[in-house]
Amino acid sequence: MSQPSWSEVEYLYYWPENERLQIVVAAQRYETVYTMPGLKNVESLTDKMAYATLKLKEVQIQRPTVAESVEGLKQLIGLGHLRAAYNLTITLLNNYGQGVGKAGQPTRNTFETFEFWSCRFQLMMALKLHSELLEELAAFETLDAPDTYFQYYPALLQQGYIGSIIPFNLRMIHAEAPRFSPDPIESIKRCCALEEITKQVIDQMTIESRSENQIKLWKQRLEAVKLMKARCWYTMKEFHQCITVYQELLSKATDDKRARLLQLLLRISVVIGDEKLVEKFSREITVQNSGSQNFYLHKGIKDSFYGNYAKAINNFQNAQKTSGGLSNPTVVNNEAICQLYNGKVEDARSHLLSFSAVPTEPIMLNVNTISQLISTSKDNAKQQFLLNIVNK
Amino acid sequence: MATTEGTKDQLLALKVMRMSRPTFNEFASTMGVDPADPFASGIEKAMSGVNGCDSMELPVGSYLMAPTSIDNIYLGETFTFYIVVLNESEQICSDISVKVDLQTQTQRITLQSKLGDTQSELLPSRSLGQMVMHEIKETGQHILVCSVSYITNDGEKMFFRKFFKFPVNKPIDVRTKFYNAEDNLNTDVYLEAQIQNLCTSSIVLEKVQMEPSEAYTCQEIKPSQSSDEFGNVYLPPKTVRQYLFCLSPSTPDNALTHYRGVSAIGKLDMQWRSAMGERGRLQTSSLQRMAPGYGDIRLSVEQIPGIIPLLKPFVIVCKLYNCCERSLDLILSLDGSLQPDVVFCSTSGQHLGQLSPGKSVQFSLNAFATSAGLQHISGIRITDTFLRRTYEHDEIAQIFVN
Repeated sequence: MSQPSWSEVEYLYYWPENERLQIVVAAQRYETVYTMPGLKNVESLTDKMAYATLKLKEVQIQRPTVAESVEGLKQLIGLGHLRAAYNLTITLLNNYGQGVGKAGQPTRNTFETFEFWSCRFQLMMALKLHSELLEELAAFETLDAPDTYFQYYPALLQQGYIGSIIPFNLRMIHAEAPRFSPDPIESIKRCCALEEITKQVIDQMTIESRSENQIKLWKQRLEAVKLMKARCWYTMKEFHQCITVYQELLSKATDDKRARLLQLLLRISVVIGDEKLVEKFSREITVQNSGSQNFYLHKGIKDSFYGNYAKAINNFQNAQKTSGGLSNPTVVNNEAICQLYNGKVEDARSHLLSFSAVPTEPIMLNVNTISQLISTSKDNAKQQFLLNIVNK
Repeated sequence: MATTEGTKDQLLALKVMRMSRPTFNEFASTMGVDPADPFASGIEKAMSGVNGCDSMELPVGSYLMAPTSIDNIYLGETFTFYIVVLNESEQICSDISVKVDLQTQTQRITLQSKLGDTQSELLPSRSLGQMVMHEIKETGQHILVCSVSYITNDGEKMFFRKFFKFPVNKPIDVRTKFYNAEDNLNTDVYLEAQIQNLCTSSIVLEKVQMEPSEAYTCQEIKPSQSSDEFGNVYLPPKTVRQYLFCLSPSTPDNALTHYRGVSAIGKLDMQWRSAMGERGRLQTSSLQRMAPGYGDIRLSVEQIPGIIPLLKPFVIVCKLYNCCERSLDLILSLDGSLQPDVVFCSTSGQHLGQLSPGKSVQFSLNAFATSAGLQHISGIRITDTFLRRTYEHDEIAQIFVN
């Protein structure tokens, strides 16, 4: 597997120069290290699944050993071992001199270190380590220091590298992270700034008559930033702002993306409790989706909004028929919950327990809640359910 | 929140789950995904099995979740709960009877329970349950009292009670203001209703309607933008929304005494929904309005031309109502000094006759204008000879002279 050449990947790092960089380049001052990250949380995460399996089945799961490199990270992620990957980022950053105590100290920033940080922050988002993430992100400040550009390193510039060394995903996480802080409006400001520059890049690339693929990728990035902005509004309970962003995306979406966005808009209307909006989006979904699984799913959700649980059950059963049996976890789950609200608690639980594939987290939570209601202390059903999961 | 009363170890257990509307699962693990990133897509795929959703970019999922926390309940909402009796023992229990009462600040209400069947029998590890609904009509502390009686295998009669306390608060606050459009021509009353959301989370107002009393007809004055595209009225906590209604008297004018003192205007009917479609409905008690005092007599202008040619005589028809409790003996006099540009032609000192309480009398005035522009009609003096009291009426109408 060969490394791609710079010209093949250059467009991914395209980033307009800012004033800070220009001043420094004009003065030829390359000594200062502006971006000084360092690890703050170095406790290895325990492997909860392995622990649970050990307790329930007395079997020790072995996690694979991988190389201490980007490849190793990719392997662990590919196998779903996210905690192990997170632990590996600690090792890697230590090896590259940006471990504990290095935050605020000038160290050597390289292409690799930024990649490790990007991977680490992504894993922290997935593993919900939000306060730890905010701590470690602080050192990156506003991500526009001169040393975040290839141009700041004369050796790299000589080889033709220009643009931002910061992976775009890291920029997105940096913009979204304040959502988990006491000042969530900061995330909106950062999202808007990121959106602005992304649009500039697209405009510039269009002027330069770049290839369709390159512009397409940046348009996908713009979409991701908008989705992020909508998420931030949602967290702040600014539902109407959130809906406005999704409607912007809707106007440019392809058919399958449209279907997903409309379902999301329907759910947000249900969350708000606005009947007019529920009906509006429901009409649009109906037009788009007659006969498909999504069609019955949305009808079921609308029925539960009105409290018509018996009708909802019917619609979820129809949704199952179009998806070939008990295979869609959302549909199985929703039918069970409607059975619960219809007064059929035992049916609800057995329906959830009958789900054949590995149950998702929401299904497990619901099994737990319902079990608390109707299980005696000697009840084995839940235990058996957990054992089945572990077996898979 | 729950307390149990009942000695001895019980074989049966009772549980209650408040069935507030199911919520959607919200994703705590979200992240922007750059398609070109070496790690992001892999992480998203790994999380899909956990989240039950193939995207990490959505804030809310499509899984309905059973209730896990106890939310506030408000006046006007429906209290829905699931009550279940579990047999935690190894023996069969029979003659199970469950009684459910709701104790409020003012009364004790027995709620419908089909679990009170004395034939029923419960095998070990089995349960008997039922959904119960009750519309909340009072605020304050509520106590759900669940009483269970049963007979064990050995024939022993057992009994226990469980209490669940919960507060009920006011969801909305309604303040009303009345504005009188009443001048001598218009008897409409405008009602401004300010509705404030007192809940801890947002609500959506679906319907705010004024149901007028018999004495009035009502029309809401709505803002021009009311398309369905914008949804219903969204009210975050503590915010206020104002509604304006125009109330017109439905009875003919000469029953004006109906509007003296305090009169019942009508009731405000409000319907809303909160998160996930939970409904609420409240009606205010009858809104009262204190009519403005007219004093003993009221003058209204029945007919007057709007535009009048210069120096041409015109007629004003007026009506006098006796708004007080005694008979009046009235004389009309005219004081021309207050309006130099309008000259009265009628005789001053005209005797209008006796007027009983609640009755009215009509009279005409002739006048002409000596200068162009907007002019007032003033200088009407009504004297009651019984009490020797004079009532002054100035600026009763305006005319435009060209």
